[in-house]
Amino acid sequence: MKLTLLCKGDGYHFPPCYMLDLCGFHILLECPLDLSALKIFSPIPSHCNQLLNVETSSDERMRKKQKTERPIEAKDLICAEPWYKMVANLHLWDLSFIDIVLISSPMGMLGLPFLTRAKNFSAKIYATEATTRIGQLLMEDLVAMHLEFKQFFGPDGAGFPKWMRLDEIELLHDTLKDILMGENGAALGGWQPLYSAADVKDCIQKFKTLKYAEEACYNDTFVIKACSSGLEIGGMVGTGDDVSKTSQDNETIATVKLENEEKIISSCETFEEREKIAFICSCAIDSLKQGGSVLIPFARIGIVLQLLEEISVYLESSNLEVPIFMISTVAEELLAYTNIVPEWLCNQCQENLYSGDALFCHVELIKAKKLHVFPAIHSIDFLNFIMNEVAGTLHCVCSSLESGGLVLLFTCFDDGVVIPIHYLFWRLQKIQPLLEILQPKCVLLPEVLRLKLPISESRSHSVLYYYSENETQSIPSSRKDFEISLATNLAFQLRPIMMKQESIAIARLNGKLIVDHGNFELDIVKEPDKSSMRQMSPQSGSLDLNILLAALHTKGINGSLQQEADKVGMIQVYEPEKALIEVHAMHTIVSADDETLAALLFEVVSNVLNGN
Amino acid sequence: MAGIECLVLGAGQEVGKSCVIVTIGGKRIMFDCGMHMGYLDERRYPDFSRIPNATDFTKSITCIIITHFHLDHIGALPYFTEVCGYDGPIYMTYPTKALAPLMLEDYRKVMVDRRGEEEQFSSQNIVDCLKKVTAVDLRQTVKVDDELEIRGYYAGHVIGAAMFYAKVKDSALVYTGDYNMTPDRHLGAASIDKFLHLDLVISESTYATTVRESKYAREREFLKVVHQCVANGGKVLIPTFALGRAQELCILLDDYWERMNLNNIPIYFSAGLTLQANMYYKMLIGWTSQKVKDSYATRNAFDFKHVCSFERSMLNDRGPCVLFATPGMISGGFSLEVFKQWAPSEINLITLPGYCVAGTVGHKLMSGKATKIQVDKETQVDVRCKIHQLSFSPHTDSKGIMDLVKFLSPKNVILVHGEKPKMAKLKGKIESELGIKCYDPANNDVVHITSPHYVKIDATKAFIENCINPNAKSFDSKVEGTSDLSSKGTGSSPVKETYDKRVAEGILVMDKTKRPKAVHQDELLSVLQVKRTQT
Repeated sequence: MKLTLLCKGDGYHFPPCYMLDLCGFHILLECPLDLSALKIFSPIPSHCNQLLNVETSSDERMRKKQKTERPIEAKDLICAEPWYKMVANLHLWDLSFIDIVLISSPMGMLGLPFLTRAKNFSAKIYATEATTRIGQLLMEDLVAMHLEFKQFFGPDGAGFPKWMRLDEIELLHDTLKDILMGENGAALGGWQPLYSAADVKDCIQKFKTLKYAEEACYNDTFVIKACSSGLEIGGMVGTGDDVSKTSQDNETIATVKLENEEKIISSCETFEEREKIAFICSCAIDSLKQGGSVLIPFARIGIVLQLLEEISVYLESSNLEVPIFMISTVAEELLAYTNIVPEWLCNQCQENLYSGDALFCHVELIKAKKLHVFPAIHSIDFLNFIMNEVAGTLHCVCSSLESGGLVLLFTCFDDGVVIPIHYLFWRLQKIQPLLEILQPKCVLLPEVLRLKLPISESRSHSVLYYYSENETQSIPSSRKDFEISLATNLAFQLRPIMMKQESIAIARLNGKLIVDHGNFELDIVKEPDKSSMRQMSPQSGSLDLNILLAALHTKGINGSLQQEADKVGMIQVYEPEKALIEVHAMHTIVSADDETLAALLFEVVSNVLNGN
Repeated sequence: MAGIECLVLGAGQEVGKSCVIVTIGGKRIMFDCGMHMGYLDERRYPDFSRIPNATDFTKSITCIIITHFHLDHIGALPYFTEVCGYDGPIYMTYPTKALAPLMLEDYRKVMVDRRGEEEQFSSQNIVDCLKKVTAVDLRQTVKVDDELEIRGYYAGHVIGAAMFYAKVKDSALVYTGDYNMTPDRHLGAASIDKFLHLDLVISESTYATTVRESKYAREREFLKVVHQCVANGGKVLIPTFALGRAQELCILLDDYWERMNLNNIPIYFSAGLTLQANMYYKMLIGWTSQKVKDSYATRNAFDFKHVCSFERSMLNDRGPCVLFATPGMISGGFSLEVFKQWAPSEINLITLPGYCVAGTVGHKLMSGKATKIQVDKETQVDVRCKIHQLSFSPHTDSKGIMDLVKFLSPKNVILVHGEKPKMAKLKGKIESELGIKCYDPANNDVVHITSPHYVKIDATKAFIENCINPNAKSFDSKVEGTSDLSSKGTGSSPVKETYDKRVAEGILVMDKTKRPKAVHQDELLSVLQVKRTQT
């Protein structure tokens, strides 16, 4: 087994991306987009006078050239239709060699349409139903937001944008240049213009969606089972099983993703998380009390649902009549979807199902007209609503993606509070319990965790490996033997021979090997063997050619002895018909035209070997 | 020792109280725990005392699996867990777990509150019982213990209905519960994996000999009579079960109303139960058919546009309407009340479900052209309205059963949940057409089935690789036809013979002290030598 970390990612929005080579199967784990790189692009200007700055004067160019350690200004940003940065190292791999893609979270599939639209991509993509659906909505949202840029900048011309030319890059602020080029320009290859809505649709059609804890079988040898990861609705920890059962297989996959196997959001978030949410809520309430508004950008749907529940409780308790807005092209669908997936929710939400209530409170909030969902900021309904509203509104904008819309809202927020939500997802303390549950034979951890996470090898039963970016870490197979189920009716057909010296018997096996869901079965061959090749039960001892010749003679068969190459004895039979007996160290081959003669020769050879 | 033993406690050559105890590889599973609606004495429950070690059910039974929420499949469960004391694991799908309490509570109420019978289990019993249930998703592989593995597959029939696959070691079986092989308005068709290597399929056989035609014709017929009735200003009474058919027919009507623009004619739901059920259906939309599922965002299919709730005072309002009322067989309750009011008018219409128990008003209406029906001692109803019999059944027909059996191709089939003579016919058909051994046991019969047994052995990598890789071998044929062997030196190239029989060949080494091991023949010497040095 070999594991290569293609990109170590950055938090929830940019999960790490791996390539796993498991017994010759190439498995790509996640295919994210680095959305944080989007910040090198300028948002859509909200005022016309900003537009004037789009054309850089020569003066400006000069000024830009005098790069000093000054902070970035709005003017430094690239004012063009944004491109998107995916995992650059993925381009070093031949897409046609990828057999399986495993996606564990919606954020992990944003880059996938770039792969699926390539002609030579033929891998099977596995993700849970919920991940697929939410991921699709996020991608559609991304495409919809990108449309604003497209409308603003017009259709792109030559395909290769101006800002990507080296002389233009040279002019950029260092921070931006680093993001754009990466180290030694390695990241440049990862930039792509955004996929289209049609690409997203095609991509989704290639998914093989899994239900909760469903086992999928690839090629009858590699079993994938999706368990809940607790990170997000539909989050998946892949577990696998493969034909050669190399050793660690499934467990490794589970561990590299560093996710915890619990049941989803709300009830089971850590104490720390609950505190953060409470903190956010109290900040929001404070601001609202002072007549301000609150803007909450988000992407992680689970947190949003939780915030909605909490904030509405807070609002209730402090007697504030404040409307909540949720603005996204997919908000309505996303909310509707969360209410129909009880299988993927925590026990608390499932209890709601059993008692006949809606799974989440947003259903009630919408009904009570406390929560308003709009597809876009510039929709007429929203603008009308805003006009009639007094101060004190709470906005959730469904995108962490820096879109024009968000900035537009931003500018109206002089008196409001903007709450950045940042979550740590490498919940270190969760690794240990996970390992205790899984008891893997081997664990792969990122190099950075070597010091942070003291797992003593002696205490755990697993072998630890540490990997770092772009280095392939090989894990030797620890298993030599395999288990086979031998059908009893085949076992009864065996004709074992006791070995002379020991308590060992051997028998020739002749059956049909069936590989099914990673298990081997040896069954009886149904059709009689029609091949003219015959094999006898294994014999011990060597064949003395002279004795054989004599034995043949007694049966009326005559032949002559020929020593061909080294160690190969040959007897040419010329009477009654032509035939050949080759005696090798390990085996003997009888060749003859006539079947009866061959059978006779075979019998003689067996007899000689048996010492008769 | 290998084999499966089936004790049929209920639904053997009858419909009602489904309950099969399967002993497989040392594990004992109870499939369904239903009650018989036709009996009021002890025959309504399966005879649990026949279960081996009946003193301690928790010990005796590894787990209970419930396929769907109909009372003939789940009705005895609270009794078995709370009164008989079973305390082990119980599995059912999410919708079944959500909707079962409604069914059980409704039944309990009818029994105790209306008929004044002694209660078999209390409301609290139902709540406690359902708390012990583990909900599962379709295709979710659940490891009940080290050896027993179960998995549910979509069965159609009602929302949340599932067929269950169970496997212990090398033996595996599928218990279908009730299923439907053709999709209807809100549910998809049953779907299950092929190549499960089954020793046994236990299938329902409600329609063992019926072959149904297209349901579209039946739907059209239904819509036509309803439309005709309301167009003439009549009222339509649709007595129905709260869950399942009600939603199915309502989707049909709601859709039709939309298309025909019948906005001014109301559709009513009488019972709170049905409205409550719609709430569940909305959340469980993921368990319905693909078409309904895809519509969740734009409009949840169970958000019926034309449906309003019904007040008793509206019973004699003027103008046409359509009313869904429970119970389905007009055996009492609200549907009977409405029946009394509406039946005497010839412009009205009453639809009847496909099956009515003898003794109910529904049965009397079905069996002939009854013009006068004695509802109770005092009341006689003059039936002048039109009667339409529905023939939508959520059960598979005989073709569906044959298709499923053929698809799964198990080694044995047991038929349950059907009528004896029809089952015998189907049994004959399965045996003659598919060549699969088939049984149709009566209640309390035991069926023994042998299953193949496997021995676990080790194998070396070389052995496996040799077996898996296409072992097309080519060898030089030294003797070719009648050609002279002496011509070998003269340059005629030997004929290459190739063959690929994909036969696993190797040598099995049996050591008294170790597990048998399959090795490649080239490895034999080294394996034996290693052993020599060890000894």
